Amino acid sequence: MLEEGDSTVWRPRDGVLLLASSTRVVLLGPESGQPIVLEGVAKAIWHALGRGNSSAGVVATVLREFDVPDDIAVAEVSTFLHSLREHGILMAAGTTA
Amino acid sequence: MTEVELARGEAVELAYGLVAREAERAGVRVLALKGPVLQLQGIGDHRVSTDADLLVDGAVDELAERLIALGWKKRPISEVVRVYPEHSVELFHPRWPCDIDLHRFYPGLFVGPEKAFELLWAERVTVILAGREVDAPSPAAQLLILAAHALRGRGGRAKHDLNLVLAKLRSDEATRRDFERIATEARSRYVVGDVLSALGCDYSTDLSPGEQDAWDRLVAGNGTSTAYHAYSSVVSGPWRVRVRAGASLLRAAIVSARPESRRLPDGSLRPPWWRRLGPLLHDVTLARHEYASRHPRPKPRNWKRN
Repeated sequence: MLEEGDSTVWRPRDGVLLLASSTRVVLLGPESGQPIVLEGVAKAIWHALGRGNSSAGVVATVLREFDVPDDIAVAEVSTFLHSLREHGILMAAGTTA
Repeated sequence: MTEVELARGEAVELAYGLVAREAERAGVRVLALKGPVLQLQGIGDHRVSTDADLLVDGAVDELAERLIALGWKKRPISEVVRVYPEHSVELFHPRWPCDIDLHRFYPGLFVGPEKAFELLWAERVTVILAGREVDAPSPAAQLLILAAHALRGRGGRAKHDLNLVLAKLRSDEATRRDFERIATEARSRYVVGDVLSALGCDYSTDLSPGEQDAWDRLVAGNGTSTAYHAYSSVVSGPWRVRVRAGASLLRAAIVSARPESRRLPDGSLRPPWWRRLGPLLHDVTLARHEYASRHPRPKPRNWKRN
């Protein structure tokens, strides 16, 4: 689970393949043969990460864009980050100042 | 985040990116042909391709193995001897709605696989597919590939592609000049002779009689008819080749009679060849007529008695 105010920023690993449309994002991990699809909240989280947001910043984005309680937003972002690291798609790129 | 069905357009673009990435890791050069690359180069329309075609510099089998390690499988190919050799390895994945075609060479570029690749590589451009850079032939070379492909097909798609080629070449003088130059360097002038003629270019064959015959037989067989290629290999060429072709045909007939060799990627069974004899003979007849229309036999002379 994320710590409050987690300032880690994330970036895709080298070799990740990516397709983005208005409705969804399709990703293929660098060692994977099967793509995964991000829609809805997952797509919003991906775009928030792409704008250089920290984990805490992504949670704030989810709270702003979706009508969800704080604990659900934190859980969603935490699960998302864990899963994309498991798939070898995301890596920590440092922290916000 | 879900593992859901890919749309075909998504799958095709990802497949180009996937092959380019694996080729880069293997140190193999590849060029992306046709498909979404045409749209990015301002040539194609928005028709979605059914596969990702890439021309590979030599190491097709090594690259195929990398993709097989990621769950792709080779489509079986007929063991029948062909007048024109198999030019690609076709791969499918049970969960991807598109194929990947890795080309050892491109039919119609008679300069030879290595020289053809170098010719296209020297004028390559870079496009972005699936978020990464992918090398592709120049627009003029891409049009040559598209024309060579369309001219060995008969359907509506072939006509449509040929019209695309002609429209682009008629509207762009510089690309037309490049097209003609690359066709000459690739020894494809005979192959794209119909296009050159339609553009009013000087056109004469650049192939040997044997090469010309092989191409005409490929075109007559609509590019893909195994039955016609088997027939051609048995009825043309030196006797030694014919005997070998006949033996391979017999072997293929025996092998393809077994159910396990007729299983399709979706698990269903293709009917044995004797149940498809009617359509196969129809294919051969059509192809023979097409070939004959390109090679009219000389009329017998009217001998006069003294």
